[in-house]
Amino acid sequence: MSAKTAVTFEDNVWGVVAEYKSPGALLEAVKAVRQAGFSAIDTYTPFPIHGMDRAMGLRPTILPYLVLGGGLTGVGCAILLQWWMNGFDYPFIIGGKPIISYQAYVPVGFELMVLLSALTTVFGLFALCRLPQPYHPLFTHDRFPRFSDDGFFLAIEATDPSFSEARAREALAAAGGTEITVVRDISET
Amino acid sequence: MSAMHTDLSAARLQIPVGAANRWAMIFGGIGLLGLAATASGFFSEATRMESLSAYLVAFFYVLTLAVGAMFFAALQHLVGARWSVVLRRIAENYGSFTPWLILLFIPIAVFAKDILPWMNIEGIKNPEYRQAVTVAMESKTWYLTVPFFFGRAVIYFAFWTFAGLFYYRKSVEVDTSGDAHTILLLRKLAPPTVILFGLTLTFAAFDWLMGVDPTWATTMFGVYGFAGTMLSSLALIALTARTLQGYGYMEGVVNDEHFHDIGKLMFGFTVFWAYIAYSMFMLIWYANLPEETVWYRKHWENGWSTLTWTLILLHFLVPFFGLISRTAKRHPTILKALAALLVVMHWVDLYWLIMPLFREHMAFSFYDFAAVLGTAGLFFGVAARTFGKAALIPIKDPHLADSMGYDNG
Repeated sequence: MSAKTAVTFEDNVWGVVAEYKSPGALLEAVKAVRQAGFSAIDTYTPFPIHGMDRAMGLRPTILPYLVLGGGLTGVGCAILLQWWMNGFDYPFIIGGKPIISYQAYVPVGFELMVLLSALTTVFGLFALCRLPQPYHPLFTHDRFPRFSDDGFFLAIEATDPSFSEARAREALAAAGGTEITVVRDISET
Repeated sequence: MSAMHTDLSAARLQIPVGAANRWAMIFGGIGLLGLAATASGFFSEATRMESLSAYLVAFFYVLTLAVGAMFFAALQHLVGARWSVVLRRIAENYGSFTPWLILLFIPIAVFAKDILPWMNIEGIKNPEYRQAVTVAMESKTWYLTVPFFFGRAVIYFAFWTFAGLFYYRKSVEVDTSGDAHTILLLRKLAPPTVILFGLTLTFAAFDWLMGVDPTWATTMFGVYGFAGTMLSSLALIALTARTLQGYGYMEGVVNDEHFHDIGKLMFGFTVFWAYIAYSMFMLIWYANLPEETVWYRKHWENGWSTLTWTLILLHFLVPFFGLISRTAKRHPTILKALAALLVVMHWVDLYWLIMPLFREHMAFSFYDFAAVLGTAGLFFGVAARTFGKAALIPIKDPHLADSMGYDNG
């Protein structure tokens, strides 16, 4: 607590954050704030909210393409692996079948495809969301932990071209926000 | 939210009876011609097996389309699905075809002795095969008897007719009554319907398709039939909805969100079909027992491998990569084209399944196309007439607003 009160970097404003009562109120607030001309906004909620991506104007994620690449790599590697190992590295007749029996490659190909797809999904998501983040300016906001419980937060970031503390406060309040707080970035200390 | 989405005044939800009947005449006419052409082959010794085998494939094809559509409707009630309400009437319309299956079964019943070798063991010409069937029958005599065989058929048809008509009629009833209790009744009956669907379809596939070679058996056969059935019914529903939209119907009611979801299901069942097909193959391939592998040998040699590769390509790889992206599922033309492909490939799938047991060499015959035009023509003819009888969506379903406002997010 003492560290927080000691912060005096008044200029280093990261953004302004407000709270909303419900997912529906947040959805409407996002629309209103964007209408007011802000684009560098983000929401923090305990669960995904239907229609929020569209309301926020988020562009589609590239994650599916990464996963497709992961899956194809998996199935390709599996086929090469089995073909080379069974066919050339250690040729061995099993069950009277030809040394290169592509029919048998399917299960391993399927499994490696699933494995690499799953790993790409998880780690791709982490990378795209820049996780893990041990520090984020919002963590200095006392009420912020409630975003994983019952809080619906909307933040306007200072990177927005039309950002000013007063304008952001006004837009968030006009959209029905409460507990409007200026958040500062203390990481440069 | 509801009030905003239930305004149906602008949407065209009723096909004029005249237009529906015109389509019914066209399809029905093609159907009758096809059936007549196929039937002409039954009566000559030289063409009997050729036309009968073609008819068996074509019969099972429309059977799975109709029963699969009935299953789709029941499934939506079972899980209490809301997104699919606007698509349910299409499934119900196709599902109400089931009584006609009894009529289409008549040739199978009459010529059962020609189709199913176990009914006429003395008549098997190849002495080695006659011996093999005799041996195989030792453990199957309790199941493969003529009275039990037809008794089972009666049960299947009784259930399909009841379920197909029940889910159609009750749903249409709600269009005027708006009584939510009827929907609750349909929901209550959904679990037994779905269980009986699984059993009847599995055993019908055992009886009428797997029975063509009584020396061979796999427990995967029913699941394989189900995978193709489910996939083709989903494709048929998507194809129908997109086609109707092409004629200006249901616009603003069925939207990209619904097609996105049915596309997801089609994608899933494309994988499921391939998974089951490979599972059925792999165990037999690995175990390498001659009495089992002979079946796959028949499906591979003498040109049949071409059809096998066609299935892998057009029943799996093309729909798989075609449907994988969100854009494709929501794209009207891509989804419609892939749905049409899957509906056709389901026939090729059944053809591949059955035909190598009748014909040593892979070669399409005139009867193959006559038979499938016959049964499918009748199927679409009857369906077209049904489509004109009621609104294209359940207009008073309690969940209609949820369905119309549905959003994948």
